[in-house]
Amino acid sequence: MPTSQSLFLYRGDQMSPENMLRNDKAVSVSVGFMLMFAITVLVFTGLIISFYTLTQNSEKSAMRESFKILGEGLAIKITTVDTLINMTGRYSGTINTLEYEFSMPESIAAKSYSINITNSTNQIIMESDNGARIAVPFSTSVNFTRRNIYSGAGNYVLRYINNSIDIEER
Amino acid sequence: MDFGKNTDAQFMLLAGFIIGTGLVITTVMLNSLLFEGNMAVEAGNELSKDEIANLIMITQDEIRKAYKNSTDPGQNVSLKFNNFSNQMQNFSSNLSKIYAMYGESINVSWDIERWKSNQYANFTENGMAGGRPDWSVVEGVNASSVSIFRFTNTTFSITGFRIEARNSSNYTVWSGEFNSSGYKITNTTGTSYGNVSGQSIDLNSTSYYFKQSIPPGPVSLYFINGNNAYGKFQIQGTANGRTFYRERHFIINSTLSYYTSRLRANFTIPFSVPW
Repeated sequence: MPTSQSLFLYRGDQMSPENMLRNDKAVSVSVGFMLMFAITVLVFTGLIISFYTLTQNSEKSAMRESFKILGEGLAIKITTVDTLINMTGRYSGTINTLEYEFSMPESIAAKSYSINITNSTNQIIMESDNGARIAVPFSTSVNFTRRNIYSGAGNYVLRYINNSIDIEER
Repeated sequence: MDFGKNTDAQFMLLAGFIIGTGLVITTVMLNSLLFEGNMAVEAGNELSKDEIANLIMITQDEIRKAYKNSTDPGQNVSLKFNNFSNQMQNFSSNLSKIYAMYGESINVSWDIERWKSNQYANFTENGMAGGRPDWSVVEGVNASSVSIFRFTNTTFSITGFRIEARNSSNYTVWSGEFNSSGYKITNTTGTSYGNVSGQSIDLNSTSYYFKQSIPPGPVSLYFINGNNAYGKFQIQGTANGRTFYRERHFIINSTLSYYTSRLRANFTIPFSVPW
């Protein structure tokens, strides 16, 4: 039989779907295994990368939320100290001691962070290396000593001293 | 093999669907778990500023009551300091017990040295030499109702101290200026001068024209340059339809300590007595 006729017979009207299912010509177990393996590896790699990205995003979101809560908590504490100073001033009193302790976590989502409390823009800026960053405004009627806090030490104290509110490590 | 009718793989499809759904649920739960696990929120109650405001106000009330009780007519004058201290001691002790129930430590102490040595309060807003010199003593006063308007044991500096009665348009209808050499009264009928004689000055007396020269309608009484005078003052009458009473003799300093697990506050406040 000529080659052209042979090709016609196998690729032509004799190759019905039923025949295709039963036809195991050109099927290689090795190639099939490699294909299956490659596809499995690709799918798992995609899954792992997806989970890794998800984890990273969760960490960042969690840090941002934690920053917000901690920053606003710190702003409230500073305002509380300022209110107490004003209240005493309203009664023409003198403050002998005013200390308000607070603690900050050593790390958030297993990552270190920094707190920059500015007196120029009156903001508490909390940020981390992974890009999580928030700024919480606060207001005081007395002077505020600007301070940078780096995670590591957990306990701090807000102190009114020399007509100014200061933050010190405990 | 009929591919279209073959149902052998339906369980595989079902299993695939369940695994897919499981993956989605696991992912959502894992996301929440990671989010919550990473949150770092400090637990703890915020300090209530009202606690300290209450402490100051009740201490002020108690000091004024104790002063009034110990100096009321009929009380033994020689025991007034002891009686005052006893009442304050009782107050401090009870207050400590009440605050202790809420996990707070309180201590109230007082200093009556100024009272003992007759160092009278200045006529400033808070009674201290550095207090606000120009201030409103009482507003909406019906001048004809003022039954007592008196200064006692008063010392005026050369530069002088002034009282003004202003009407609702903030126009001064009557003023009295006092300095170490005498007084000057200015009112709608003119200006008069005189010498301050004796330890007591009664502004309701005719020489000061207080009641006589103020037209009907409410007035506000202002002390101007209150830092230039010290002594006792007493004003009593009706303002805005209610009886008012303003009297000041001395300043009693009180030191308040307030301690909680997080806050340590210690401050000294001058309270004027009896008002």
